[in-house]
Amino acid sequence: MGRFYMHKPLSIYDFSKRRAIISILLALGSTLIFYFFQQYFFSLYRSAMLSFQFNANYLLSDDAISLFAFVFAGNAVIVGNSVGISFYISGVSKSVRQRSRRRNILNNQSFLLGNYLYLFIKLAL
Amino acid sequence: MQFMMLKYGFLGESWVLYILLFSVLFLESVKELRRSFKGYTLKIVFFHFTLVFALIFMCSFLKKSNYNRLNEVYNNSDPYVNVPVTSYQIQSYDDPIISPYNGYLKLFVKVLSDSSNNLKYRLYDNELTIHDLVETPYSEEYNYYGRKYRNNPILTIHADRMLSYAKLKELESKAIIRGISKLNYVVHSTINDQPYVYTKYIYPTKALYANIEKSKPPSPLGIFFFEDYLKSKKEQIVNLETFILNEKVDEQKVYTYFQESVSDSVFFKFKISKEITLQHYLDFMISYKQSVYDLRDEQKRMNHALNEYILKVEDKYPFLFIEEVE
Repeated sequence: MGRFYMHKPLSIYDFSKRRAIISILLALGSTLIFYFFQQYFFSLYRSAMLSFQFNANYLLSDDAISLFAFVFAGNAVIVGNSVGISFYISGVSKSVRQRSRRRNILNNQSFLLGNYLYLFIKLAL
Repeated sequence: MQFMMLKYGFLGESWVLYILLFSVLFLESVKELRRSFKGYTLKIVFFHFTLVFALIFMCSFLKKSNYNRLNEVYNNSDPYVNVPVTSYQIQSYDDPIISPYNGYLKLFVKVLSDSSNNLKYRLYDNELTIHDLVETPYSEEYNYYGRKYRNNPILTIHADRMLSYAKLKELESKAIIRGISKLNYVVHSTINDQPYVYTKYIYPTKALYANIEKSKPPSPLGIFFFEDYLKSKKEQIVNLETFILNEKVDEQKVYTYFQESVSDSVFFKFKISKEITLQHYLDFMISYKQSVYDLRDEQKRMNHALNEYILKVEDKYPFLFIEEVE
């Protein structure tokens, strides 16, 4: 059961090339920043928690380190992807007709980011 | 969740789980694009998907070697001690009560060995010599029915499992002079995966006093040695090395040996050589204790069946032993 649209779909010709390049750079930058943020935040949080224990083992095994790196990289890439798409789609709309389509895409992105990060933080802490 | 996964060790399977999770999240983020964007064909979706996963794997290789840097700093300032590992549950229902007041001062001590095999003592992040550790008057004053008492601390020792037990004897011999009669060795129990405490009571024996009398004036006459109590009993020499099989203590052999030989007319002399590590010693002692506890339980059941309430099981199967370092 598809949704009925009155207006024609968006296409790549509605957006400028400059916008595409900026959105890709933005996605990569936010990916890297969020990845390093998670790693540093995790190691700080872990050391803070372990400092309450006597005789705590601070060193992680290589297996665990690679798994955590994978999980954090996955989070960061998904968020970066979402940020890039949102930036590419959003902006000052020239045609009023295609606004609903843009709004649907942006809605999806904001729903994904907020809910997934909420769930992840709730499970991790 | 991640700490739980670390603890129970199912890191291996969770790779698949996270790959599935990320692919679901990716599809969630592109589903509306697919509907409303004209050029976004299935081919491009697939290309986008592979790009995203390539990025994930590339990112996860980043910064891996430097990850533990902060943790290494912490570990150097407060080193982790590999405490001995046991599979027995240690019982403590027959512990003698020393004081009606239970508020002992507990000192947490770490014992490590450095590169030249000397012992290092750490008390709450400070490195100490054994002299400082034992002679400093840590004690606690308390009121009991209007009187003031001062009690000696209990040392709770986190010692490395590969340390030679003969070296740790020095700490015991100094502690008994100081008035400390209870030492707690921390062990890691594999049954419930928790740090546990093996309590050891030290009595003034002649062997412990022998090292110290060289430097100090002779002990007063009133001192009561544990050997004097054992004079009327038969000595049985047990060499700990005979129970070691493939660098491990044969616990079943220790158990059966003491099942046969424990009685109230015999005391044991444990010969401890320099090769005996703390792990060996604690394994031996715990299986010895377990053996005696089982004998007592059996005797209790028999006493109950025969309506015999005068004979105490603790008198019939006592813990009588002396340790001697070779």
